[in-house]
Amino acid sequence: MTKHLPPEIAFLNRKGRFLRRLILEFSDEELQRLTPSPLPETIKTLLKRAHDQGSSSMRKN
Amino acid sequence: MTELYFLSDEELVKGFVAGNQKCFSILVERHKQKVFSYIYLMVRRQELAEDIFQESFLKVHCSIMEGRYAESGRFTSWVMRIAHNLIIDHFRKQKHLPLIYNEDYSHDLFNDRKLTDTSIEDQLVHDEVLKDVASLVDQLPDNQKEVVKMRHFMGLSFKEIAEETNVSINTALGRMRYALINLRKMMEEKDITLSVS
Repeated sequence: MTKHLPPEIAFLNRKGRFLRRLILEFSDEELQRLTPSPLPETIKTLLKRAHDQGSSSMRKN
Repeated sequence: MTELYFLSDEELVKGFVAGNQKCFSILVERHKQKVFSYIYLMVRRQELAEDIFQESFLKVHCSIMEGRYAESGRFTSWVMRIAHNLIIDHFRKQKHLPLIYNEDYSHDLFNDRKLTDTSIEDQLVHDEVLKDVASLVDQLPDNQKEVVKMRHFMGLSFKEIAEETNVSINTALGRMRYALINLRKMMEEKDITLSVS
């Protein structure tokens, strides 16, 4: 079945493919000079949420 | 803990599945910059990028726990694809698509509307054309290649490019102009066309 994507989504998909390939060629240090890094609070919250997610899933099992 | 840092991504995934949460923390630490840079370059807003970054790794966490990680050796690419799907979901919900138009050049190689056709056949042809263009970009002199990649693949403004490369905006614009001239010449020589009709 042919799946028609809206042009904007097709554009984002193409841009995403290029960027993913390109990013793999850069070191983390180079990327840090070009873009921001995630905030330490973001990492902290993420790890806490992941931990909670893990605990609740274990309880279910 | 220290020895965990020497494990491969696959070994960390196995350790995490076996119940060691620290393995997941190390995976986040190891891949956070690439994944965050990808999300940021796609959405261009730090706060939104932070949210999508969290959601991406929570999905990764969940998928691994459910035994759905099977991409040996390509962990970063896998996480970036998960992030990409969340980015698309976000824009679908917002009905706001961050298309980047290049006002500086009326004949911009990468902003051609014809490149957004949607049939699968056209899509394949376009992908081939873009691959050809990318390989031509690699043949440009380094300073021109750098400007093209920063502008078109990473979406930086000419002001940002000038700052990153320590040149004036006019120099950055000039390099882009020569890059486009060179690309057109190479395309003529190789008989590559960007119009697919």
